[in-house]
Amino acid sequence: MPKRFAPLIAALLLCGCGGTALSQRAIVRAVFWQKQGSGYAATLLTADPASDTADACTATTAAAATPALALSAAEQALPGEVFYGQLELAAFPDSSTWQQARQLGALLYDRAAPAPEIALFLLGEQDSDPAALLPAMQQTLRQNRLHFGLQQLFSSDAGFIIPVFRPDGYAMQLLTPDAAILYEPPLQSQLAAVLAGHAGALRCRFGSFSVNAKTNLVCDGETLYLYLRDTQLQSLAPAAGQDAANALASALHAAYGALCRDAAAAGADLYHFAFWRQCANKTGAADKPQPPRLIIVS
Amino acid sequence: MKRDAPDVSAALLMGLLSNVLLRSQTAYEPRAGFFAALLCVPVLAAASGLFARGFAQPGVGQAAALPLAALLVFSCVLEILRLAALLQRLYPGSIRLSAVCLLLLLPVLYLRRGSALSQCAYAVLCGSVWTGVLLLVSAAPFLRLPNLSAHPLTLPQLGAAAADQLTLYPEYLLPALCAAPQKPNPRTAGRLAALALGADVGAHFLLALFYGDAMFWQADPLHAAARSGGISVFHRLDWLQLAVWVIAVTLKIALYLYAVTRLAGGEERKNATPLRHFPLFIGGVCFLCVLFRKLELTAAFRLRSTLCWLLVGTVIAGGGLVSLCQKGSPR
Repeated sequence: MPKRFAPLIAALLLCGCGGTALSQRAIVRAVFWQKQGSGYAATLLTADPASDTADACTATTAAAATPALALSAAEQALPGEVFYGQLELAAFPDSSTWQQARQLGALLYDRAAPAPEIALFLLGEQDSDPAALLPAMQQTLRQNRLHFGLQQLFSSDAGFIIPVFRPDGYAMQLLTPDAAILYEPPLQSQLAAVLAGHAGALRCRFGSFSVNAKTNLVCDGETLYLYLRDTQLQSLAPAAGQDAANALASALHAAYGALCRDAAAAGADLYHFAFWRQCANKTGAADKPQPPRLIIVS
Repeated sequence: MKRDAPDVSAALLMGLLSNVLLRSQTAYEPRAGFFAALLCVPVLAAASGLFARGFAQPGVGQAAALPLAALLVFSCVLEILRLAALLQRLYPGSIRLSAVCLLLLLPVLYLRRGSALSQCAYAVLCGSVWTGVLLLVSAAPFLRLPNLSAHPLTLPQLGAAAADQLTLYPEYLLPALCAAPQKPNPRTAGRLAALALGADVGAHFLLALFYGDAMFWQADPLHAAARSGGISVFHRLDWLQLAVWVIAVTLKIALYLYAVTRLAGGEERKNATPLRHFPLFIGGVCFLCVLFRKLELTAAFRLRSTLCWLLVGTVIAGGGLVSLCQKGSPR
């Protein structure tokens, strides 16, 4: 066939390529699900093109009996073609079970990609203004180097430990098929996030002290080394009496013990200790599932 | 000269690697795949080598030519339908089956010579390696070592891995056509099997690091992982992966057509498909694609593997009989 027909064929094949104008798209930045009575309300925060600020959002809410219907109703209420390519954050009701959280996650997984980048939070019913919460959530993620991605809901069938948004930081909720445990104390919840690999900093108050440190974990199967870098320890009460470093170590050991006991009771290797034990070729460890010994290095 | 006997090993390897890239689902646990591959590589290499020896026996090659040619044409149809189904899943409504057929079949015109096929295959192979490295770099932040399973391996897992790895692709049979007929090179088959299964196991490890337990129910896992990655301002590198995959499938179809040409015989046709045969080839494949567009692809690929094994068994048996008769006949 003469080569001069090749550009014509290429042009014919490329004909019809098109796209949707930006003004005709509803770019979803965040998705919030909240319990409303026996049903759900879905709020879609979309980028506001008419605003002067880049982070301004418009909220569109719809309620229905199921999360899927609520999401679908909210999508239909949006002007323009829904676009999830810029989705960065999602929030589920804090009363969600393991099964419900995965169902909500599966709804998003079918719509939005890339899944690992979408940060997740659980949200209480008292937090009723998603548009006002979004900047605070983003700041929490940045300050605490926190990230629980949508993919984490599915990467282990044993369960997961997910952040719960709080105005002054975050708590952590342990969810397995059979258990749900909430960690409210800031140091304990942040240590849980660090152990699970979702956070890279401790930034909270404990007792009459405060700590701000970057963290790194190394595990050789029987010992877990928690490295603290750029540590800023401060005594908030002048007459605290106890050395701040010792107080932090004591608090971390106590929190670590409680977290390990809860994970063992739930029957879930949420902190990957069994994995690291296997990697270090510690045979026979399955019969003696003792958590590694914690050593704090600062 | 190279033009008279082009080396199509790169095209064969690219054809096998495209099966890894276009997987719609993961098939086995990576550790099970690794151990199963230690057994499956020699089995596949032996099957390919013995088929080549059997095919070279007088009379056996001629008898097996028609079934092999039909199998290759059927494979062309399956590859087009598989890519069309993938594009429909990833970008619904964006491209019709007819456009996919033309997109894949028309460039085969430029790959009708064995030398062009060989040169293009090396370029596509290099492109695939580069895009694989880019995929790894872009998805690296999402790879988590604890996502790997620490549970002990079980026999059913090893069995499932072996069953998947023993899928016999037509590429394992083509060295019998493309090499010098009296001197089939056993190393080619071994190298092909080792590289193909090594790439498959490596892809499974990468996907296990990415998805964890969710690996087995993720559809089009490599493409989804490519969508998640990004480098600098280049987000969504899945478009780059997709471009390479489309070219790889085109190369595969060109390879099958080249093999059919060699099976058809005739000295003047051995290293290039005559242009006058292309309307029949393109029209015939398009017609078959329309005819089989509702085919259940997973079952069809399993059927193709079964037919390949049957053909291999028949040719090996036939070749053995002919060889025995030749040895037994008085000089």
